[in-house]
Amino acid sequence: MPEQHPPRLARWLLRSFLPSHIREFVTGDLDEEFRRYVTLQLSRRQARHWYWSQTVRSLANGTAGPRRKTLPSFQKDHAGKTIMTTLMQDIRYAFRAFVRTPGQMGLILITLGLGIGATTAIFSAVNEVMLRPLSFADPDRLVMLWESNDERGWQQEHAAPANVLDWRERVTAFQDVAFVSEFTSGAALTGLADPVQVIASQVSGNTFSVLGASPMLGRTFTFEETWAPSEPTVVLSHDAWQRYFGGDADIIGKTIHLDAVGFQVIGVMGPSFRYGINDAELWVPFLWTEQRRAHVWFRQAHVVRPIARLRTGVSHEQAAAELASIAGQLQQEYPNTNEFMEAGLTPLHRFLTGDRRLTLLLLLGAVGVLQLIACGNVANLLMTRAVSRRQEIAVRSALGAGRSRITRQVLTESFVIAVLGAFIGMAIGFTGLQWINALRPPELPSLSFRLDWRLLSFTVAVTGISAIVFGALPALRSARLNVADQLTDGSRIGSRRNSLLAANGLVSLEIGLAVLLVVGAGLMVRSLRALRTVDSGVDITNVLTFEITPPAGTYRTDTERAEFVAQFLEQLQTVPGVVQTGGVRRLPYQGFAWTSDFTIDNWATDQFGVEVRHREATPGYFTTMGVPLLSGALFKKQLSEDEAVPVVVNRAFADRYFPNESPVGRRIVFDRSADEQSNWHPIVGVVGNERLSVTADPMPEVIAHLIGDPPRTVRIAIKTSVPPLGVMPEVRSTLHTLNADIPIVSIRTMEEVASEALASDRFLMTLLSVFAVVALGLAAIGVYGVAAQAARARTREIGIRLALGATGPAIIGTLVTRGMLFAGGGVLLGLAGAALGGRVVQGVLFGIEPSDPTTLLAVAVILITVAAASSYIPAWRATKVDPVKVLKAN
Amino acid sequence: MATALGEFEQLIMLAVLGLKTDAYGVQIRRAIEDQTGRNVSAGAIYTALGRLESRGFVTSRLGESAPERSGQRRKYYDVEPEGAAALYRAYTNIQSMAKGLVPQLAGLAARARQPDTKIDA
Repeated sequence: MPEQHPPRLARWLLRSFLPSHIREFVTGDLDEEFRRYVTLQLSRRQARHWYWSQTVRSLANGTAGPRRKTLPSFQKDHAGKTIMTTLMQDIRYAFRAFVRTPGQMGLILITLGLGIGATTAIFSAVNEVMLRPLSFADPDRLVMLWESNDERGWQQEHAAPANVLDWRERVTAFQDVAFVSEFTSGAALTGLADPVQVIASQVSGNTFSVLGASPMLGRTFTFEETWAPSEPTVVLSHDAWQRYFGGDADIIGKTIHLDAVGFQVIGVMGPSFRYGINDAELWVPFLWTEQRRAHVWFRQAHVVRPIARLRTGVSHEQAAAELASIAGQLQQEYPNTNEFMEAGLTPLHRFLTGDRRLTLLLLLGAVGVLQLIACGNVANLLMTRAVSRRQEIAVRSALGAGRSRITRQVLTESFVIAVLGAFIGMAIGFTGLQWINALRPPELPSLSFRLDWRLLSFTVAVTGISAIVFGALPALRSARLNVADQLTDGSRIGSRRNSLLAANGLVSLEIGLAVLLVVGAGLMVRSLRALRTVDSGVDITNVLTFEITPPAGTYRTDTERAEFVAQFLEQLQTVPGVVQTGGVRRLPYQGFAWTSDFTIDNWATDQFGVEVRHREATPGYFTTMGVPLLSGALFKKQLSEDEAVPVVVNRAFADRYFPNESPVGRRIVFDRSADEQSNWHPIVGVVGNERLSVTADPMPEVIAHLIGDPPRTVRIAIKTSVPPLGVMPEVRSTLHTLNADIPIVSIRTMEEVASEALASDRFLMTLLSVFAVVALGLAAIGVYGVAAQAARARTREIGIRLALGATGPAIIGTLVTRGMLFAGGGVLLGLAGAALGGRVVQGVLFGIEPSDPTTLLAVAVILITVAAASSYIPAWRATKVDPVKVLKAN
Repeated sequence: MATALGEFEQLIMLAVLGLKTDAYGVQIRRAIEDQTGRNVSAGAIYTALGRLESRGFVTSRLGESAPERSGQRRKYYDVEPEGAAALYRAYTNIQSMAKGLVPQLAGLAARARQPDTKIDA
């Protein structure tokens, strides 16, 4: 039978707070009985429950010690009594006071815990994403370089490799420039028990040296290794090394197979290395060939993210100015490709956190607001508590307790509250973070509850400030009391009225803050609804999707790869339940692959279009996805030798460039100018618009037959007549018979793909909604508390009124109206705040204005209703007093 | 005041008496719980025993430590003659006052809505 331990925390509490003369015997007794319960009859849970209840009660009444002539804090400190003894005494006294009013204390602690918990959880996320530095040396000197182009509407875009190499040579402010592929690609790692898809990222050879990161084992690439060497090399992340190779200490020098190509492992990064640019598991050089580098493509294809390390002593401004002037030179030198091409830089860390910054800052702001509401509530509850304890305190000072002694006692109590609140908050924060992790959209990294010094100091700061604010207010008030006034009942009403005013003011503020959160949540809900109703242009029911990457080592040419895909799709057609199959470079919602200039065969020589989007698809793709053919025809399955690769254009393309005629039958070339030697593509059809991103309107798009430029990774779509995932086993075995070394990854229905595209918005909406509901709850508690206090303060008056013939409803009306005045003020305040702060959320909203009147009105109605409901109950209860009793009491 | 005993104190002293040489916290607590159904906290028992000891009604001695108590010692109590006298007085007082009233009391108590099971503070 395993050793049974009593709950550790309870034991610690007992050891810390029981008076020393009974500590050993009480804990001994409880331990002994606990073990007996466990072995005899009770479940462990029941035994723990018993132990806890004994602990709490023993602390409450076991701490009094032998009967004293006076309560501890009635006494003045006498010499010889150490500060520690006094402190422990005060803490014990605080615990006893808590147990006496469990409801009120529970409310205070839960309110405080919710505030601290939510703040801690969100702060953890912010900390992880925005504050925790990347593991690069001298990160302040690292900058992300980008290109912008007014003609094409580019902002901080990827750069063309040829331009980057020129910057590397010419800009003296840069110590070195590396370039990486921002996007990862899947590669089949074979040679293990089963082929697995690993996430690979392409980098220039000097990437690790520019970042200032050294490997744990072996070495990293040299700059020369960027270009095709005799044997390609690979650097593994610590994770990949552990996961796929079991941490093999002799891995360096071994050859692994990625997409059936051999790569020599030259290095393994350490466990603490955080790349930050993408979630790569391993890195390979770009391996561009000499021909590729000589081609115009090298200056045309904006495919890399350049990262520069500034020379010591060079400021960001100096570097940016020099880069801009070099970009100007390149405009002169390469007018065909670089006209209008500008360049600039952003500190690396800021650039990498850019997308998530707004979401996280919004959430941080939201929890900040929540924390304020929680603080307001706790302050109110503690003030109420202080008011009801005035007489007790007055008795104490009448018996000789000094002012400082009382202040210390009250402060200690607040401190104990804050510490308990922090514990509860940590627990809530921990749970909350698990929950956020489960919900998080793909662009947020996995979050872990890390007790690093920032988080710890943050929590300690929040708690400490809470303790001082909540403690100081009632304590200072108490210490200033006039004892005689308190002991004679007379002055009660006056002081209560003052504190009621303060309490009402606090509650108004709370309501105003709650309005902000509810407006935020409301806007997100409506924005998400607007996003959901955007027509996707495709039929997503019963469509299964997954990715395959035919290994480059086996299918060496574009044609071989395209033929393999065609063959696979052909065989899939025979699987029972499969209606239609297709392959495409990117699915709807996943964006386009690349953009280019173009011109049409009957356009003037200087006429061209820019920024047309490109994808490639197989002939079956359109029917599989339910994309309608509007005119012309879809692709033929087979192209004859030397036949030009056909394309279809989408409706947005036809509407913009062929408003009065049909594009079908025209020829297109993807360049600014063209002659008969150019690579012409016949436009064979016009199809409906697909939704390529969540928010953007349909943009002109050209979809080419997949055979022209088959992507390394092909997304397969299968329309089924049965539930889509049901055909998966057959699909798998079909692929297996063709090539057993190709892993199938990202298996999802099209419905899931569409839903994932909204993940980020849903994440924000869910969190904001939870905060809004909590804020509403807290505000309701606040209103209720103040209304109850107000009603109590007027018991006598209400009794007299009732005796004089006032009706219950009339009195309820008066009381509720008074509460409503403050609530209404709070709502107005909140709406004004929402109007002012609306622009902050604009960036995350779709199809709705931050000042949307429907939302604002609805929020106002909700809050007024909540406030009315919460003040009605105490008002109603107040009218149930017996007038005779009240009058007699006077 | 000096010799009067509260009800809770009486229960504890009776338990100590009944347990003879085995009167320590766990046994006292269980005896009270078994006989009266009152769930008493360990802390309260020691507080009360501390009061009784300071009045000379009970004495305590330290026992052996035990593994099931995580190595902590027991504290045993014995009733002193002064304590026994006070307890006897309290008991006989109640008995003589209650003489002849028990049937009436029982009948009346049966009509109470609910027995007051409130635990001592």
